[in-house]
Amino acid sequence: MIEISGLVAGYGGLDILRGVNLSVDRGGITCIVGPNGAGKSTVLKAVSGILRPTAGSVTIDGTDLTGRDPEAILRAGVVQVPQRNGLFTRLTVRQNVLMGAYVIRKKRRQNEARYDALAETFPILATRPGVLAGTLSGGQRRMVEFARALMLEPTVVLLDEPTLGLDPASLAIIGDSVRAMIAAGTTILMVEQNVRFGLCLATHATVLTAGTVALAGPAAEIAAHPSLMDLFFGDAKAAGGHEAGAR
Amino acid sequence: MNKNGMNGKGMTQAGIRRTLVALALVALAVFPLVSDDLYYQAMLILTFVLAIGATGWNIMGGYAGYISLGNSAFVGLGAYTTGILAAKDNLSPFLGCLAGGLVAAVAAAILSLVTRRTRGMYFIIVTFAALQLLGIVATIWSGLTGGSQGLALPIPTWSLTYQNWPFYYPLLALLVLSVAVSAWVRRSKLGVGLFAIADDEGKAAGLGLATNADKLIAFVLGGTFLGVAGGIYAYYVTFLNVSAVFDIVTSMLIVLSALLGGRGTLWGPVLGAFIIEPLANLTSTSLGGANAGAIRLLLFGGLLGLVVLFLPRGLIPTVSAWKTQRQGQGQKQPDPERLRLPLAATMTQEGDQTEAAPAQRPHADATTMAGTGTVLAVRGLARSFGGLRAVDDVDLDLPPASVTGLIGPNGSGKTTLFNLVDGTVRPSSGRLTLAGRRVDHKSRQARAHAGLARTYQLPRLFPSLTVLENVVLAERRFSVARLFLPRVTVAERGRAMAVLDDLGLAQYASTSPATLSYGQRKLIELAQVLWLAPALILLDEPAAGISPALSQRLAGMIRHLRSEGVGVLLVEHDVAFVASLSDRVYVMANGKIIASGTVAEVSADQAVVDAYLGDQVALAVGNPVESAS
Amino acid sequence: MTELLQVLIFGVLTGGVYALMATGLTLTFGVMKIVNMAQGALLILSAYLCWTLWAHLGIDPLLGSLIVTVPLAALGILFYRFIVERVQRHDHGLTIVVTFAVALVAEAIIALIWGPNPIAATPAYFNQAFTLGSVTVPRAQLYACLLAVAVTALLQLCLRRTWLGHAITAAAENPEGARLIGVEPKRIGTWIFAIATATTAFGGAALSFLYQFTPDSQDTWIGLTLSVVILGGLGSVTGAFAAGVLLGLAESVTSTYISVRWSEAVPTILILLVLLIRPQGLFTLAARQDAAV
Repeated sequence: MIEISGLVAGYGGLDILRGVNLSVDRGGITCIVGPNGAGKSTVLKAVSGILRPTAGSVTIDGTDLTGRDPEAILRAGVVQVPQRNGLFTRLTVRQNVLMGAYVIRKKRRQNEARYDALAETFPILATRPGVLAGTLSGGQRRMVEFARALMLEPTVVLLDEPTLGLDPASLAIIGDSVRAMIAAGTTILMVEQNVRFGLCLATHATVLTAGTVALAGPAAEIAAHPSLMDLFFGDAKAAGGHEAGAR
Repeated sequence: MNKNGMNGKGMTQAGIRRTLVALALVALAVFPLVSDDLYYQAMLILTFVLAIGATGWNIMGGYAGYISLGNSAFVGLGAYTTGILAAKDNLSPFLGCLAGGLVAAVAAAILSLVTRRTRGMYFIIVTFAALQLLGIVATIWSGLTGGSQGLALPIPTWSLTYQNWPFYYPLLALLVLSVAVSAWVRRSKLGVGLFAIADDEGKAAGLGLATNADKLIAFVLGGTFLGVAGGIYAYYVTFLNVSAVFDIVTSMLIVLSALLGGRGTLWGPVLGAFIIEPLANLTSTSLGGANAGAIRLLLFGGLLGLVVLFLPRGLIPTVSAWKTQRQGQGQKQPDPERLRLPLAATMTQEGDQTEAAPAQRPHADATTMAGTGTVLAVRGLARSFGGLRAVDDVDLDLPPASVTGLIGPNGSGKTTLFNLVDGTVRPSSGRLTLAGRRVDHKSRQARAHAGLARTYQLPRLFPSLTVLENVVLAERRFSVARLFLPRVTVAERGRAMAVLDDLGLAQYASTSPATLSYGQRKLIELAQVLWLAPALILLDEPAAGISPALSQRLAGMIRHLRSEGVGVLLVEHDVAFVASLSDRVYVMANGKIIASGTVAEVSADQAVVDAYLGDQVALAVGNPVESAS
Repeated sequence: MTELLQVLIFGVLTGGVYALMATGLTLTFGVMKIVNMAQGALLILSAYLCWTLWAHLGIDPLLGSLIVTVPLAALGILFYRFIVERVQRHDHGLTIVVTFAVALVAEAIIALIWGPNPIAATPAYFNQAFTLGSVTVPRAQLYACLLAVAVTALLQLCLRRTWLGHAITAAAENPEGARLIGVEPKRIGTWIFAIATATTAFGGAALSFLYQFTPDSQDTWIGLTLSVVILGGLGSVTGAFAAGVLLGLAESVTSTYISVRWSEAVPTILILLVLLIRPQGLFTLAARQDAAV
């Protein structure tokens, strides 16, 4: 469904991704984990069109979408829920969700029907549609963002750290929402800081370190990896701290 | 912008330019003696005034980057001061003009104070509003200024054989003086400071530059020349009218002259004035009638618009860039946008550098606090943004001659902590002590002077300066005398070239850092901040995005720093890199420090594991996740 | 007491009109962070156009404003596409200088077409007044203020209820989030300039029968509209309305109790005070972009 090949991308002269290969099967959830600075969010941004890659390709369902505008990528059925600041605080819940269908805004009836359908999965759409998004709690905002992402009935949803800023109690709700998206036939590529949560939810996992893929495979295998912490701490523990006598 | 005349042609071009200038000067000096044409004399007088105005503006707007739309205010202040003193006290013209210059200088000094709070487009608006206000106030105080009735000055009393010479020559001399001062500024450390301010004022402050003092001097220089010119102008026209003097169009002509000729160059404003004023003169004489004013406005407004749209750098830089291109010198144009080299090329370049002993660091004065307690002490430091506690009650102690790592997951507050230490952000509460001095509310310059240096993940260098100038820019203490020194002293050049040699970057000494690769710029930035001979250095992701070879080299440099007594604090995601260097690491999560010790110790700490991997989650369905070993 | 009431009423009415005149500036600044120094010139242009419709075709300026929105909107689009957008790409800082240049060019063209003599439209109501007890309410001011309220309300409605309005609000607050739903801030720019200049037509219409004007009046009006926008917090339409009323009151009070001359200085004094003391304006809590560090 999603084929990423040899992706190179970065900002300000700094290459963050240095040749990333990744693929996601239709209907699956792949979670990207890894230390910070590894480039996890950068992968999503290169797919959604916010960032133009300098090399490599991104193919969705056979169509090459490398370097296209975000709008074109939206129309191709790929939606991203960003890490933060996804909502427009000065618009209401209903307005925020409907804005998800901005590129097909002419189809009023269809969009409104879709809104009502989504309210069944995300009750807040029905209970508090007129509330300003800026007044919602973190968990509620995420719900609204998910609903908005689904307005276009996308084939691919990119989730950038869905649990960011949420308390542990909200995690279950996020998990349910993600599963609901899968049930609707979406393919999900997500980045998660909370490694355990991500690997628990996903079917497949990719470990990204320093801009390249260090490890990839079924989520359960990666999760059962004997030294998961080495992802973050590398061979540090073996080195046992700084070289003795280097003072 | 070719501020430094970084063309390789060197002597020949400068020699040609000097000859041309000398010839022009002689021609202008001799002109009134050989010609009786009053028309051209008058035109030249006004041209001189405009050229002086544009040159003065250029020091503020071209060198320091502060665009002012209100410069006719300085001219007006000078003119009215002189006029009032002439009408009321019958003061000698010479003193009257000086007084005019003084008043304008004071106004300019006040304006420079404004820049502490207002920059960029807000500064431009302030200058516009100030000019308007001045005009209104001048009209209201008609008792002093004659208001809209106008103010008359004594008519010249010398014999007609001298025509306008008593205006012509002083103005010409003033023009020569203003250009000379502008040239001196460019060649001095003051000029380097101003260019740095224009490029990146915050970073300049972080290197210990006295940015406020530099701006003050620049503004006062610009303002004084305008004020004195205004005084002479007042005597020349003998009648002052508020709306004519505090006029936005005059301001606009000054700005246009500088932009047209080349903002930031030495001769650009003069060239621009010599084009604009004759043009203005031409239009006002040939286009008589009621529409003359409108047509002039159309012409100059249109010209200003066209220059900004199509010739944004001005004539001189555009022509010299065109000439360099034609001659195919193959010189890289300084390009503030990043010039990216492909990864392979970067690695080859760095691989070629000799992997020898770590480079010598210029620790000329041993002011480091080795052995005298902590270099950095943090107590209860906190900072909130809105409702979010980005840094929450942090305590930290950094001994001298040590390397400490600061690690933690995304959003843990590491960057904010750095920003609190270096002064980019002020704390909500808490104490910061640097080398024994309290600095929590001190400016960035003060912290630099106390011995703090910091690098950035995306290196911040000054594209308007050469690599050499970038390296020697930092100042450990402020002294007015330093401003008079040349851009790079002989001693500094020697030291800096040695540093660049060690880094293998000596061949880039005279180019702009914008042409270097990412890795090279990281090295230059490090050399730049080390010039401060700091006691504490904050390294922001030094290993990010560089080749393993360069990363090794960097590690070597850091170890060397430690052995020289410097305290190093680094934020890094590459924990292996941190582990190979640090004596100790602090782990941050959610704004707090949750663990400290060696890397081995903290990686075994359950709290740390939870912070990185996420809290233990019990999800009803799905794969139960093994906890990490 | 009556005098004070009179002064206050007059101030509020005038202030409402000031807010209307500043609306275009508020829009372009709020979303695109562009200070359009040509706002004064655009106001004056609208005023001249409305005057022409009134003087030659007998169309009341209030109605004429509707007609004038069309050429103004067209001008706004051209202005953005061919001038502002180009300069923004190179150097955001010089954008303000280029809009300033356009203001001067516009002033010149207006002077060439209409000449320098002061004019004003004088429809029937321009010197009539309503009397409420001991207070007189000038009809022209009242109508102009009602127009201001109507246009502002319409604009708010557009911002709150239409797709375009939501897109503008979204892009202003969160450009990256906006891109992720397919709203390109650059394409929104054209719409914003068109709307901004169209609303300016209404401001110009009010100007035409409330004040005498000449081509170089644009200088006064840019100072005034800038003041409203800066006071109101640089981007909030409702904030700008409140700021306009405040400005009108300040001017009215100063004019009556101090001197007319000093009342002319009120807008510029306020600009300076606000930018130097409370840069984020009096009616907003938003942080400033360039806060000196």
